[in-house]
Amino acid sequence: MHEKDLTYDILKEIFNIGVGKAANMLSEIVGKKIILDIPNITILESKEDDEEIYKHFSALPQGALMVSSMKFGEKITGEANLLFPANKMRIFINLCIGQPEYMNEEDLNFTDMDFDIIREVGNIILNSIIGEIGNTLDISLKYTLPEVRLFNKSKFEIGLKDKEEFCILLLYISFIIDDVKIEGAVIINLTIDSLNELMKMTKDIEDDLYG
Amino acid sequence: MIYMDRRLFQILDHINEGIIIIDEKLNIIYWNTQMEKLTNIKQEKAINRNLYERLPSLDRNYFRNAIDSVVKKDYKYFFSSSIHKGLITDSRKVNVRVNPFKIDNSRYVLIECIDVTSQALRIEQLKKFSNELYLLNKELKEKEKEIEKLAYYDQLTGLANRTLFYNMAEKFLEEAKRNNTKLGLMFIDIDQFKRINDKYGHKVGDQVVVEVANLLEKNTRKHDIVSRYGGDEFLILLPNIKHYNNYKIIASRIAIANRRVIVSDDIQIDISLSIGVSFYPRDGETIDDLIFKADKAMYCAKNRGGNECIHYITK
Amino acid sequence: MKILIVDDSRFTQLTIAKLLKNQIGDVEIFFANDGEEGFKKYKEFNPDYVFVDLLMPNVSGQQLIKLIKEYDKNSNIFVISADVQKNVREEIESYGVIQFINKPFTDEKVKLVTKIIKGDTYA
Repeated sequence: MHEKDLTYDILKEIFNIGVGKAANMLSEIVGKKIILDIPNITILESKEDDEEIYKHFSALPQGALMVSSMKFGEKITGEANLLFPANKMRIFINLCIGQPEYMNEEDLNFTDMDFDIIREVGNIILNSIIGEIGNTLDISLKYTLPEVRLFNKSKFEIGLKDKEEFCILLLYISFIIDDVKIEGAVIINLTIDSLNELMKMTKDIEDDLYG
Repeated sequence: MIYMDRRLFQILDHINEGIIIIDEKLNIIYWNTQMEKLTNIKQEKAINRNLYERLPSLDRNYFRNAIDSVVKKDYKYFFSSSIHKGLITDSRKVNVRVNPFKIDNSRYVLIECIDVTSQALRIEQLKKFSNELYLLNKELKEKEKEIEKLAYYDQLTGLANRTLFYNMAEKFLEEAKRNNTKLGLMFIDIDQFKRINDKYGHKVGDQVVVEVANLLEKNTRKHDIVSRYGGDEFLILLPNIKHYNNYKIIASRIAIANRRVIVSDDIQIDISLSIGVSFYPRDGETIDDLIFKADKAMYCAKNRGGNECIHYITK
Repeated sequence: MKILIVDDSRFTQLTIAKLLKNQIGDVEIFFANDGEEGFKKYKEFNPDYVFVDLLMPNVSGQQLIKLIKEYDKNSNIFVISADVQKNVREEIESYGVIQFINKPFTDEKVKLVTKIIKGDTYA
């Protein structure tokens, strides 16, 4: 799939709108302005070089990662993972709670309450993105509330590559809240069938527009 | 109005979560026992009422939008108690889950209210303990540093003390031997120090020592080590001296430096220093040797009236 | 009637164009991919209406709006944005744009827009 394809553009717009809606809700909840940056997407298919895939994974947020995962299905099945570096999550959580944390900021021991917050934020972001995909393509996608875990990036990479045939949508998002820049990624893996289904739908939209 | 099996409702009443079921129009059609406990609102008073009228604490913009998208777009939501304070009640910490479901073509929303107050309390306690440990650890580390400082640094002037001096001296000597470079040693003594102490008191004497220490530090090179050897005695290690005569540069800097110590509005003391210099390898092979020679040279300077710098001359 | 659409998404450009053509009919539409190109084409074609996206590379939507307003204070600007925060909306509305529209651009929204445009023509 080529960057110049309209399909690529459609997906980018879907993510754009999804992230915008999520940011709006988050902004209302924490009562702070969120400055969004243009999201960037890359699409990887398993037939591509291992090197290409490795290159893209190296660009993912480094360090311990917090991963919010949800599975979705029906017409298109897959898994969406939201990754954020753990240290930035610490800052973000402190912001959400609103009270100044007396603990040191390098503390990467997350409590159950912290995980709850990540679950909520992960849900809001993934909700919006998956929801927007459903909206634009006019299909209903069933999904579960995300689970959250602290993850090791290399284990994650290996896990993904183990799947035989895959297609990965990598979405880089970055936003600034309270002068803190938070960069994360949404990784959506789809089966090849789902990818084809997705392509078909976007092709229909394309035809509709040019028709 | 849907047909609800009474037995199912009885089961829901035994669940430890508060459960609200609303219809598309946001009217409450089910409100369980736990919900009664959480809000002090009886089931009869809740059924058929509008959700936001019955629970105004839920009437927040983002919550309304969320419920809206649950009804219209099948979204699911999770509201954590730590972010959303007082969503259900002010007296407990409650997590809220929102899920849509459909029966026969009608849409409903299931709102689960999960009381996590005791978990939150436990976590707060753990956090407090952890924080206390953290602060204690920090304190211990700082005390450790202080002890180290006391062991190696002179309290009054902040200069290296004898112990640290000998450590550094051994190191520099070894380096000089290995790299075939010269090591210089200056022995400095404050002229008439006893007199100053007797005339102005020990407090002033201390001030003078501190001023001299600062003066020496300022006028030596970055890698030179200035140490307080005794009451009014200082030793300076000069590593990597290129030529024996180079010590004169440092000596003259010290000589030109301001020698006037202002003790108070009306007391000013002019101080002078006697300095003796010795070198490895020319004057000795061990530190004690160098100190001995430098001391002798310094003594020589003192006998000549002080305020002078002399290097050791082999007789 | 001339309309300029400034958005870095080709998809959005085409969608808006299609919806507008359906409602208005006799309209000439120009496209620009970022704020810099947008300003150039505004000066070149002098459109009756401009649709500006906020989040764009090079010159952003916000900067473009300021540039256009400075150049032509009677310009008619519609803002289309994925960023739907209230404070952003208020800030943009203070620049004197006609309407702040949330993406996605749907049938309903285009009807609202054409009402405004047609209303203007008879003003």
